This record gives sequence, structure tokens and C-alpha cells, in this order.
Amino acid sequence: MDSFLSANILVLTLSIATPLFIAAIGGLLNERVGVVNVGLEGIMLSGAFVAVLATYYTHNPWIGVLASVATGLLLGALHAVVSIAFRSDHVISGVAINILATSLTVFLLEMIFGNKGQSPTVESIGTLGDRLDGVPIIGPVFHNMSYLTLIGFGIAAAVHFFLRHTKIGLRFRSVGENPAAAESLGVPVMRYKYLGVIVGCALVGLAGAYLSIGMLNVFTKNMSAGRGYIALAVLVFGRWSPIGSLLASLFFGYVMALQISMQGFSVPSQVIESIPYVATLIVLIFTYKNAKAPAAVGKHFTKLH
Amino acid sequence: MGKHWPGKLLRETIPSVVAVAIALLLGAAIIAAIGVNPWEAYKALFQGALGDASAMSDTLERATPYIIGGLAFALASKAGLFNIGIEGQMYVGALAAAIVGFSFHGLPAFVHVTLCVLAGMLGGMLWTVAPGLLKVRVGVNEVISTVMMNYVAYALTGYLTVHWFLEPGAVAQTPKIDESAALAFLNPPSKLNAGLFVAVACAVLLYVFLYRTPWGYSLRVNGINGIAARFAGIDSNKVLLISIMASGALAGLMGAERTLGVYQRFMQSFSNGYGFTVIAVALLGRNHPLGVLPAALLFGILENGASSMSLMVDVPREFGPILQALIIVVIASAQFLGKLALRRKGGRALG
Repeated sequence: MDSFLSANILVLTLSIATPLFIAAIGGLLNERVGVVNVGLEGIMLSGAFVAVLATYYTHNPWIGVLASVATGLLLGALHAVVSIAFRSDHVISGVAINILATSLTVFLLEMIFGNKGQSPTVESIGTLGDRLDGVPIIGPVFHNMSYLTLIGFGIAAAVHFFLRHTKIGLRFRSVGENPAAAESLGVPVMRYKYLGVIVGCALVGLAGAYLSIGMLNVFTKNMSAGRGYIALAVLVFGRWSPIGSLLASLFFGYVMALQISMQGFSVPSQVIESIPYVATLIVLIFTYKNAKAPAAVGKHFTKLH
Repeated sequence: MGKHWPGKLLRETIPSVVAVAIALLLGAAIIAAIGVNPWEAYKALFQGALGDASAMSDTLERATPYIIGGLAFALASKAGLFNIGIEGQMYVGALAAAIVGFSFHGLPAFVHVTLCVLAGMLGGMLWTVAPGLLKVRVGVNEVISTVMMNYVAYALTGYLTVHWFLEPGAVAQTPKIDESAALAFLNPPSKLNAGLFVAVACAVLLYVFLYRTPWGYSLRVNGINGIAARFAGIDSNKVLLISIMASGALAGLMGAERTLGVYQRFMQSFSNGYGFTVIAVALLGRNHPLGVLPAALLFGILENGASSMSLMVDVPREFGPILQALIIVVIASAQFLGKLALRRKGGRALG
């Protein structure tokens, strides 16, 4: 049993939290412009797969990262067109993306690598290692931190600054609250909607890259394992804010890291496996009551002019 | 059906037929992209699914769970709920049916099968109680909560199978159910079983319930507009709770059919995502109980045909699920085509 704040638990916490908060921030950019996205799961899975694919051919994991972002952009464009331009039910579009991603990744896995279960191993992104270990206090935090986690922190800070402290960010938020009012003030509502969904989904693709070439060095079938949905819970828990999502995911990560480090206690593995999902349900019970989603989320907007 | 039903039937089915056609074309493009002749591939697919009596039996066997699960999703949808948790509810139902199937001995077949089916439905229903209560009491979106319950179901059934009811073998599985609990095969060696009749009966019953009874009416009103339903004196929360539990019971029945009919035991790895595929089935069937029947049949054809196609031409059997996924993507977009047609007829509301 590690102590409650050992270096191991910290590293594990960050490793679990990273894909969650990056995906949650992507999800909240969707919701901030009034689009529900339950397709996070499928976009993450696709990002994870394409990241490995690109790394396999180029031997450069950073190209894999870029490829995962491009995949997110592409699927984001699909979700945007179907749910904004075609005015379909946002949830149906998201579910469609999830089912498509599940079957396509297995199909391509077999077509390209001749294996239904997993890809060959590829290079992974790498970590800070022990570069900052000498620094007091923050040393253990940065020990073996993935570069993607660092990038994620940067993204959280940037999105926070954008939403809270820029004129464009304020307009961006107004689109999800009251698009008609925003339009009457001259905000290009549709443009912002597309921007929010497509950029948001690009981040979700990036979160996928962390699963396959950040945390590991391989793609396995269905490796997103519900994280896309947990990210939805994280963004509710974090009150639709990037910093809130970051903190919420760290809390999740910490709870799960504690559980994993308790594996020695002859607890059946299945019980451990179900912890994140039960924890998500419990967190939802306590946060949903006073959660305030953007007012126009899931509604279609018709241009008045 | 009303007096306008031929026109209505056309209006309801055309978008689905068009969606399938577009998806098949997209599928042809994928097959061509991997260097196989699409015409040959599709010929192999449909011959493999409908070529002779045994192929057709297999296709109907694949369609059976899609009928029941499609009804489960459609029922929840009609009430205004997205039940993405059918997979987990089905798992719990499949295991519950198996436990009753191998624990009791010497019962008359009819009694034993009935008990197993009820256990399966109860298991699936239990799995919707938490999401249902969370929805009506706290307002938690059922999409997240039912998905979380899926993962808990995998873990729970896996735990019970491995630690309580393990039968030694290559995979995690329970003992075989008693002879008296098995659903009869209709055309051996195909696994097609009496569950098909149960599935079709469920579709008819659900149609009668939704469109011919006051309870079905209040359920549909609730799905169309919850606020209007409350003004009309419908207890919206009660309707939501009962609908998702009934949906879970159907999902459990789907698991029971797999256990009692096809595998005659519970296997941890028996599903290839049935619970998610049925979402596509229900959408293709326009969430209508009678529309689910042809939609499920088509999905059975695609799945069964894809596996025989993979033996004939060089296309992996995952092509079946891909076509199914494409259908759903196209349907999501096809709502738009329907709206376009309406707009052309009715003119723009706002200039």
C-alpha cells in the first residue's frame, strides 16, 4: 500500500486524468455553443487509432499526435454538419459516430495490421522523465509527466483565458446561452457554432492520442472504454469550465489511482474495474442538481435574417 | 392506421429505404477502395444470407435479438428517453436467465422456460431502476447514466461468472442450462429458435399498446412534449420511469433469448455489441414497433451475409457492422432530407 500522496499515485492520477480533462474541455467547447456531443467516445477511439497508424508509418509520434487532431477535426466537421446544418438530433448523431468508430477501427485494424485485437507496438510520445525531479515541491508532480499532459495544462489555461477574458470568448459563450440575442447583436452565430464543435472535437481526438501513444505504445480494440462518457460527466462536474474540468478529472484520477494501488488486497479485479463507472454515477448524483448547462444546449437555431 | 395510411406508410418508409441505398453505395465505395469488386462482394453477401433454407434460418436467428432490442430502444425513445444501456441490461438478463436455467431441475419445460424468461426480464429491468430514478429525481441525463451501468454490468456478470458459476473451458462461461429450460430449435443445425416467435409477438403487442391504448398514448405524448403532457394531467415522471423499466425488461428478454436459445449457457463474451446495434435498428425502423421488424431483418441479412462474404471474397466480416454504422449516420442526416421536402411543400415559415 502506497501512502496517500506517494509519487506513484501522483503519476497515476495525472495519467488517468489527462485524457479525461482534454476530452472534457473539447466537450465543453461543443456545449458552450449549444451542441450536445455524446460522440466523444468514438472520436477519442478514432484519434487513438489514427495516432498509432501515423506513428507506425512515420516512426514519429508527434506526427501521430497531429494525425489524431486531424481525425478529431474531421469527425467534428461531420458532427457539426449533421447536428447544425442538417438539424438532426444531436444525440443520434453522436451515437452514430460512436458506432461507426467502433466498427471502423476494428475493420481497419484487420485490413492494415491483420489483427483484430491490437496493433503492433509503435514509438510513444515520451515523458519529462526525471528532468525536474530536483525542483522542490513540484518535482514529484512533474516526475515522468507525459508531454501531452503538459500540453493539456496549456490547453486548459488557454481555453480558460479565451472564455473568460476575451471579447470573442464572451460572444462564443453567448451563442450557447441565447443565440437569438447574440445574433441580434451581430454575432455570427453559425460560424461560432461550427468553430466550437470542430475545435472541440479536435481536442477530443488529441485526448485519444494520449490513450494509444501517450500512456501506452499500442492501439487495442475499444481502448477508450467509456472514457468519452466519463468526460461528459467530468465536464458537468466541472461546471462547463476548463479549470473546473481539470480539477474534476484530477479528483477522478486520484480516486481511481488509489483503487489501482489497492489491487494487492485480494479484491476481485472486476470490482476494481467497475469503480470509475460507479464513481461517475455517484458524482453525477451530487453535482447534477445545481449544474447549469448552457441554456440553449441541444436546441436548433434558425437564422432570423 | 387512419384513412390516409398508404400515404403515411410511404412517407414513413421512404427515408429509411433511401438511407439504406445510400449506405450500400458508400459501402460499395469502401469495398472498391480495398480492391475488391463491389458487385461480386454484395452478390456473395446476399447469397450468403438468403441463398437457401439454412442460410435464411441463420439470418432470422441473427435478426431475433435485433427485433427485441430494437423494440426496447424504440419504446424508450417514444417516451422521450435515450436508452444507450441496452447492452448492459441484456448482459444482466442473459446471466439471470442462465442462473435460473441451471439451478432448477426437474421442472416441466413450459414452467422452467417461463421462469428463466421472467428472470431475464427482471434482471434487465433492475438495471434501469437507477438511471430512471436519477433521471426523474435529480435530472441526470440518461445517456451518461445508462452507459455507466453498461460497464458495471460487464464487471458484475464477469465477477459472478468467474467467481461463482464458472464451468471450466476456454472462455469464461457458466454451466449449461437444463434441457427443460432451452428454447426449441426450429431448423437445426441452425440456432434459430422459438425466440423468434416471442420477438414477433412482442412487436405486435407493443404496437397495440402504443397506438391502441390510452397508456400508450400518454407515453407518446410525453415523448413528443413533456411539458404539454404535464398540462394534460399526465404524470410525466411516472411515465418516464415505467417506460425505461419496460425498455430494460425487453433488453433482458433479448439476453434471455441468446442464453436459452442460442448458447444454452451464459458466456462472458457472447455479445458483439448487440445492445448498440439495436439503436441503429430502431432508428431505421423509425422507432415504430412494426418498422423494427424489417429493419431487424435487414441487419440480420447484413451480419449473416458479411460472415459468408468474408469466406468468398477478400473483405473482412467487420464490413457488416460498418454498413450498419453507415446506415445510422445516413439516417441522422436523412432527417434533414425529410425537412427539406416539407419546406418545399409548405414554404418558409419565416421570410
